[in-house]
Amino acid sequence: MALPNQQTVDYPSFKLVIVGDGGTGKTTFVKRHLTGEFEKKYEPTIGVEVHPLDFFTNCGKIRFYCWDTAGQEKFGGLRDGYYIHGQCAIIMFDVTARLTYKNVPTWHRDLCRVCENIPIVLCGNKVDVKNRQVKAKQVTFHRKKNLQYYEISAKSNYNFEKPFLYLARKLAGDQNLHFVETPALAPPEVHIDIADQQKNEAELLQAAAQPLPDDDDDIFE
Amino acid sequence: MRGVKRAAISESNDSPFKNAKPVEGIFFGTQKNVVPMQQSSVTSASLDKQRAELARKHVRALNNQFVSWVQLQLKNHPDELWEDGMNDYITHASNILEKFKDVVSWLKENKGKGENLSPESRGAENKLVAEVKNTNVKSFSNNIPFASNNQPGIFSNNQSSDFSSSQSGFFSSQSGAFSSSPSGLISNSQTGSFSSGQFGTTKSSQPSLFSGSQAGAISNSQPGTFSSSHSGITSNSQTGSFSSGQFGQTKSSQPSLLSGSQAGAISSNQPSFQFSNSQSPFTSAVPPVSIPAKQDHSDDADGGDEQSQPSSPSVKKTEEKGITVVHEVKCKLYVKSSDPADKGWKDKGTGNLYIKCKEGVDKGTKESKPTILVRNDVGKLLLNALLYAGMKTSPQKNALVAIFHSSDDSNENVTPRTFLIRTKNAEARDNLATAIQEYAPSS
Repeated sequence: MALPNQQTVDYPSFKLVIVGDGGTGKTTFVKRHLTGEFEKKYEPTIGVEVHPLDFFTNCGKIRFYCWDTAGQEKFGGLRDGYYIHGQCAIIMFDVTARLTYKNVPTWHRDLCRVCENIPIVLCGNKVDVKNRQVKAKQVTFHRKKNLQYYEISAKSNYNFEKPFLYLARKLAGDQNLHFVETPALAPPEVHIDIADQQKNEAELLQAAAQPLPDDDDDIFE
Repeated sequence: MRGVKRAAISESNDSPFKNAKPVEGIFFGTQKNVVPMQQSSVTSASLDKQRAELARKHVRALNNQFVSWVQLQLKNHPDELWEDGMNDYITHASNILEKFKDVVSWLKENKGKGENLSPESRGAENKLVAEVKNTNVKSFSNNIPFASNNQPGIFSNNQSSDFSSSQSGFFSSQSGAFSSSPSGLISNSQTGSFSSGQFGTTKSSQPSLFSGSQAGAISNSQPGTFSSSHSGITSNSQTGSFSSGQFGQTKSSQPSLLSGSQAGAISSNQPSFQFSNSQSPFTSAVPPVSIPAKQDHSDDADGGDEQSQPSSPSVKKTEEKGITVVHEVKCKLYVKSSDPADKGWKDKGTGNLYIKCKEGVDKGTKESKPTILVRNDVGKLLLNALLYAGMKTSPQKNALVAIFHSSDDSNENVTPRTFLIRTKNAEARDNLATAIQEYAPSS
């Protein structure tokens, strides 16, 4: 099912709507999957950005067209237009900001008015931060609405694949679906000579002088 | 009977002190004004007296109904504006003024007679003017005819004095009630109306008008009857008062019945008024109590148990035939930006690092094709490169810097790029460095 202005692929593709308050980490979460990068600088998403994400499963390849929406009200015009034809959704909130969880019912209500009976995942982001305001025990909205809840961290990659796995299983109707490793093609041959070797050694020295990225001791559990 | 009257007067003395000062002034002014007037002698027709008394009964019935209604409102609707009731009172007052137009006109004609009082009375009058300077002047001027109106021959001096006193007390009580009104304008209006209705006599009477007025009074009495639940005595007294008034006016009332009715009305009003005062604090305390209760309820958190979710591997690892994993470690991968202006490491994410070789081939040789792979939890490749001869690494804290030749996605070009591989601790880093040196092909 191809949407307008979307390139057609020969494997199943779905429109995934990602909603939630501004600053909860929706765009960072998508970028983490796209390029692996963790964007520290925060720039509000204006309108909507659509990113295709491919996953390899035991049932074949699957694509999610991720509609990353603006969380701020002033950027969120024509919100219903983004929701239309949505086939699955992620509602994101920030466990370090209680208000973002209190607004989850509003996002869910607006979403369900347009997309009826679609699989939805509730994500509590930024669980790597120590000073969290919303405890896991306090999150109860998903039980009343039959949603799946995952605590994630776009920064430490904790549970970062779980939302997509849940949605893929629901959409495929196969509870045993799982991701498989991307096939590793043969890496390119390396032809190195003395000049290249000296160049590499100079590169390493230069890299040694470069400051390390911020320590993230929490990433290893 | 005299005892009852004095008790009523005593109770009415308390009311002014609990209300605004102007009311108190009116009370004392009236008292002082009455005593000197007894010495004067003014003749009025007996027919006028009857008409005046009839008007007074109408005003009293209206006031009794109004006070009962106020008590009911204070009990059941203390937080609402009582504008409708106020408007109804003004409407009924206008009807009484209309029906007793003759009494009002007589009152105006006899204003001049009041000015002919003795010098002693005039002195008192001047003093009263000063005292009631800030009150309703109309009320003051109407007091004089009232006193003169109560000098008929059929009453003895003692009865006349008591009668006047009781009227003054009742007047003060009503003024007190009006002073409690939130609207100053309404209060002034009521006082003026009350005074006009009380005083004056006329020569003719019309029974049909009486009936119409009584019908209005009856409709007003219903709320009063229901609201009189504070005590049986008060309830009976008010009911008796209404019945007696209606009965008296329907047939011709005797002086004794008239006095009894007035006494009952006066005594019953005071306790009712006190009840309304005591009710007010209790009523006003209820709303604040209920609001915090609601807030507490909304703040209560749902005590549902936390659901534990068993974590299962999301990615199934592929078994490659003929390939052996010689080293494996969890790491976080960074790459140096290819943009010269941008100095720093770009985050590629966390994943698992593998070093794989072909089986059956001597390690450290080119034919073994030692490959370094990093995959994230979705199975996506973050790094896919061959180890090469002469390869060197540089340890930094918990990380290892190395250069690999990798091709970007859908890019044919092979570019050497500097990678930073961060591990959990220095030991893991050293193990990784050793493995790389061990399996990299020698020249």
